[in-house]
Amino acid sequence: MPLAHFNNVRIAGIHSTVGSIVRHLDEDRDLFAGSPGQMNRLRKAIGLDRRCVVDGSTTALDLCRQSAQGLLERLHYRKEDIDALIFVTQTPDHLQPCNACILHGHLGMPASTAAFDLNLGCSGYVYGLYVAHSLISSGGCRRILLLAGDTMSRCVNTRDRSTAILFGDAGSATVIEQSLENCPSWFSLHSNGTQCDAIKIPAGGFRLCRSDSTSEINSDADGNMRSLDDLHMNGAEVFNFSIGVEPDSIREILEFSDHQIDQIDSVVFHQANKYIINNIARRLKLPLEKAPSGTVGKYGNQSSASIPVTICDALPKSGTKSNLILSGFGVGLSWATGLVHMKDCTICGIETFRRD
Amino acid sequence: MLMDTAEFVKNLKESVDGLQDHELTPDTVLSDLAEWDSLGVLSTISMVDMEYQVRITGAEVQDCRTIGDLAVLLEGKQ
Repeated sequence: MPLAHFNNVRIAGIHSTVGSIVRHLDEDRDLFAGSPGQMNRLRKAIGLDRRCVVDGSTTALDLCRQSAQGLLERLHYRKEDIDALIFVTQTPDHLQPCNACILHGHLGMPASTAAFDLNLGCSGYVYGLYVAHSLISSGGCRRILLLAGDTMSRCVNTRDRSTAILFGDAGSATVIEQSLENCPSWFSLHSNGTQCDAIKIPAGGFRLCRSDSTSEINSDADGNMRSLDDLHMNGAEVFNFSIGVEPDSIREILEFSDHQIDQIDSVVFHQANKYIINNIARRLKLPLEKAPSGTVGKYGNQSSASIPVTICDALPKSGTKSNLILSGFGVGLSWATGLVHMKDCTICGIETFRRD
Repeated sequence: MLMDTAEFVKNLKESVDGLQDHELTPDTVLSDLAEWDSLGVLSTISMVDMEYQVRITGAEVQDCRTIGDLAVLLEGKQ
């Protein structure tokens, strides 16, 4: 079980960028033609309202580039100061090369900067933080730029109620660096590959290449339309997984780090939806004001970017919020939790994507 | 221990949004309820987990025709 503790690594700054197209739940009312009440219950219980998405030509790389440039400028860091680029995404520009190498070129980084991707979704931001902390702790890097972003709205069939209304698109940039002062953090990583079919895009890799037959659209028992090229999500199984593993994951990190829950200022969960977050919080007896859940209603479920966007959206830009638990869970199935100290972190606001 | 079916029906009514205004009995057919949808399935899974510490799957819930079938499913897992 990869549990790790670091002492001299800090998160220096976080910046987020969301898609420029605002899509309201009401615009998808045709999906609920047979049951207008269902749309209202989803709005109330799941917390869906509006989403920020991209157009068909904007990618996670574009969103993360804007955040990378914005954050480096805000922190007054030069590109030569970055020892590694880590890009967390499941919606890269190409199968090859990886997004981190493409961004390395766009930003004009030196050859001494390492660049690689992590292929993870909702748990990926915390996995990325762990890897960045490890690279710095080993002495190999002093400063790392972590990008986390996805454009999941481009992966769904617009006639599939189980996914079409859920996702927003966003990118983020986070700088992690060596700290001269003691700055403790703790992390845990987990996976359950036996449930890998619960969230899946079946075609498009080398096991099942895209073809005319994979693009054929079929209806499921609930009348949702999708092809093998589209995202499939078993909502009930993902819900069961989330309420099953997440409370234990939070308890585990508290025990490992020797903290009590009341010493934690906020628990920032992956923003799957309000219903899941509230259910996890209830099981932990965690006051809801300590577990922000409003991001999904403003921006949609943003996969790997939802934790940094929520930090930028819901937490004060400076000052009191210092002990945070960050916890991502989803596709894989995979989950990861970190307890971090963020007192002096530069938290930027959320920008809307601008096409240059 | 046999489950209290009346209490189960009450818990279901309280936890699934939209069912509060219905007269529910063990013979109520779930698909006859307009409010019984994917969110109803999630709410049932959540309630059963919280109140009875039993984990049921979405497929198991969807195989149930009546509220009584749900109670039998739960009883079998307790």
